[in-house]
Amino acid sequence: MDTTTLAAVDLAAAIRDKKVSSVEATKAALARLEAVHGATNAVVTLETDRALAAAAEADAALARGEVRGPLHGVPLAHKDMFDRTGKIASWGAKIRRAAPAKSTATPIARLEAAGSHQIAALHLTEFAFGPTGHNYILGHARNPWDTTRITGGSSSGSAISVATGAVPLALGSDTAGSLRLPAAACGVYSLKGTWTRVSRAGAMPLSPALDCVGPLARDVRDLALAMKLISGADGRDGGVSARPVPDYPALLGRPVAGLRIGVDEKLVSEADSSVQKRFETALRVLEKAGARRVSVTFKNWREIDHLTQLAQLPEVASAHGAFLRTRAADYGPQVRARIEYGHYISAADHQTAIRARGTILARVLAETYADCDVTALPTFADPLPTIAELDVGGGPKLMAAMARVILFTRPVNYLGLPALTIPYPHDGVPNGFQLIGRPFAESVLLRLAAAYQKDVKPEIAKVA
Amino acid sequence: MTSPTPSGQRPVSLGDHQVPDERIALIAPHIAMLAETARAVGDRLPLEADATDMVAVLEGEVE
Repeated sequence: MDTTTLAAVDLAAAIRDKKVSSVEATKAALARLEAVHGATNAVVTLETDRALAAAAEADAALARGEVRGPLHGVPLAHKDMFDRTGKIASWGAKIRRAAPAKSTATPIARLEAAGSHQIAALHLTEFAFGPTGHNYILGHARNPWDTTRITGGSSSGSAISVATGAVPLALGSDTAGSLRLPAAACGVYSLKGTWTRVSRAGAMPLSPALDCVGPLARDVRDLALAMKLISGADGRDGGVSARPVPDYPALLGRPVAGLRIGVDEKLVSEADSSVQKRFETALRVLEKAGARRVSVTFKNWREIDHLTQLAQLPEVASAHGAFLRTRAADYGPQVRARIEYGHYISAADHQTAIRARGTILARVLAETYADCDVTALPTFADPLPTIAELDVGGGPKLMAAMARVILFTRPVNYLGLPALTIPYPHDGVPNGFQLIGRPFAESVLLRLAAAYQKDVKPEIAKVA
Repeated sequence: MTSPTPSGQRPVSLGDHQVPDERIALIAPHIAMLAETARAVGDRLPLEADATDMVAVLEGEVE
């Protein structure tokens, strides 16, 4: 059995049914990761001994009749920005915590409580602060479908690992598009939940006003399961909503007929014409499944984008203030340059952005979402650029280049809305679009993605 | 140009970190553009608008 082609839910079933052992699945995952790393730079640390020990424990528990949860024995790997007891996460950077973590990040701990184990810590943009996969400390991530092209960032290694079949599911984070962009670029799914849906306890903070932790997966069933497992109240993160977590996997089969997908044609027309064509093709898949397309308008998208920057940049500058003052040379040029911006934004302007959020979200819900259930936008505005094209360092092209990459993703973080990236039907180099839901409407997004997946089957990148 | 701040002072929060003039020349217009947006939004924003409004709107959503 080739376990590297399976969805997490199917692999877990195979392990439970003793068709394959966790050790066998873990060895296969480690081998696949090792094989793809050379071409893609997906891995920061391969944790072979620890992974195999955890897998052996899972097999032993199963032999005793114990099943820890729905991911029992399943090997996973995650973006290297989460605390794990006794370890120092790389944060994709030269600058790291001085001491090992005393506890494990809540989302990771919840996936482990469900029976999974981590086999590797994965590549990310330095401090998760970049949307392309460039990293001047670790080396740039390379797209498994075309290694000259970007992976998207900042959850680059997570997207590569899922796309290549090494693991079925991985965690990442999203402050301005960092789950959605790499998912689109590598041809997999990702889900950024509502801003307050998933605990961020133990995740490296970048901009708490915007940060979200979420899963990437090849199969929507895995995305739904992961979201169910990691969502919900957490005593370690007071910002998480106390709302009950829906049983997302159980809701996947609900019909999508009649669901209205809002499209702002004027905004979409800012995308490259080839992207618009792929976006239209993907929308037709959803229409064929019974969803209905309607026209909507996102008023003042640029204004929302500016507000996102006013919220984000001072938070990043503050978080990195001490490091910038004392260890500026240890940053890569791009991240250092972007951190500097926040020092020049006035406190009043930052506060305006933070104070305005509720008002602007309420307006968007009342206007844009008045006659639709979800909205759709491309994830990238352009076909995937090459690594060389976007190798702008900290130079004069930096902000414009980054702004174009996150044109359709960054404002969604300001609005706090859930957004799910779906890969376009395969056509050589991947790309994708996002469905953006009302607050806490993750299940609607997942249902639409499940309907889409019935028509457009996941594919695995054969880089190695 | 040595600083885009109205006071003409470099931000104290930078400490000894020196931002080269060529980068300040890039930062200044960008920050000015964002500040214009903040002013325009601020002009329309009620006095009562508060950071906690965001969570209230999110939680006000009826499933």
